[in-house]
Amino acid sequence: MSAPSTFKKEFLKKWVLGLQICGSSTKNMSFLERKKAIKLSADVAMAYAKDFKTCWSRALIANASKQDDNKILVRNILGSEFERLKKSSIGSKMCNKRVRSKKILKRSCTILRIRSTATRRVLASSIAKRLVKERTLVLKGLVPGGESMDEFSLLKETLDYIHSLRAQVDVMQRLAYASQLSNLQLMNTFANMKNDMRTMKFTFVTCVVGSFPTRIQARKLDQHTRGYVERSNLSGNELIIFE
Amino acid sequence: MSSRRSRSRQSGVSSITDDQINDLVSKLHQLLPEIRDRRSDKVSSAKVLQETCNYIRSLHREVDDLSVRLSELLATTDISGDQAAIIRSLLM
Repeated sequence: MSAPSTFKKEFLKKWVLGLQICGSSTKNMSFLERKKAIKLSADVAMAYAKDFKTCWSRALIANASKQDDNKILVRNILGSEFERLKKSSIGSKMCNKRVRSKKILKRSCTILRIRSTATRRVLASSIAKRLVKERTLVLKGLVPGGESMDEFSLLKETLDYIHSLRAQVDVMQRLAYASQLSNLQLMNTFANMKNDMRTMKFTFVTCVVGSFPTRIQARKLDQHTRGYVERSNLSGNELIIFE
Repeated sequence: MSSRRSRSRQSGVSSITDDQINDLVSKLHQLLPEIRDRRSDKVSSAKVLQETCNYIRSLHREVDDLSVRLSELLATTDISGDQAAIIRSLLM
């Protein structure tokens, strides 16, 4: 599917940018501070990659900006986008008031109908409705900005949010894997080789991890490059290096 | 009279969006990992909503765990030149 992979690329670009901004502001961070910075930049990047077209992405930024120390980071990462978001958030608050009044009208009509025909069937369905209502409330707490949405929008936003979360998890796992490899000094070895042999070009291709669907994409090579494949023994992972 | 009119309008509006809501619920149902393996003809909205909430919570937890793992792996959030090269290749 092209749409998820485009989103993943956008997310990765913005996340790397965010990480570099976080890194430049505080050089020596504690473990927990670094974790918070990584998570925050990942969430901001996820929302940014959506171009703030969805309600949850805007709400995510709004929630992140509530704390002062996060607000500075968010502003730095987003730049001018931050100001544009602030202005558009005023408009969305007006929509929420309209939604709430519609819900109240619907609820009062439902109560009138149930009281007039209190058969067992209606009671059973009302119990089912109550369950759905309760779980909808829980879902509203989980999806950013869900509190002020009607049921239909909430379901649409949830679908989109789950897709984005899955993409975020996928990209983070790939980066973790790549960092693991780099920490195993493999990259340093090849970097040394690169220094020794001046005419070589190194291109690293997409990493493959055991539990993910196998997908290897090779970058287009020009005629003068040769390639060799090395299979590493790290739980069936493959790293292809072209020189 | 106005209440009757508004009630009939309400039922008219809700019958249209009911189908759309069911469509969305079935789409969510497709996304969820557990229900996908079993027979998927019975779609109970309450069950789908519950599984959705659990799934979102598990995804949040996974992001959190990955952040912890990454903060162990990355000595600084400033990405070095080598790591940037790897990441650029991941963009393919």
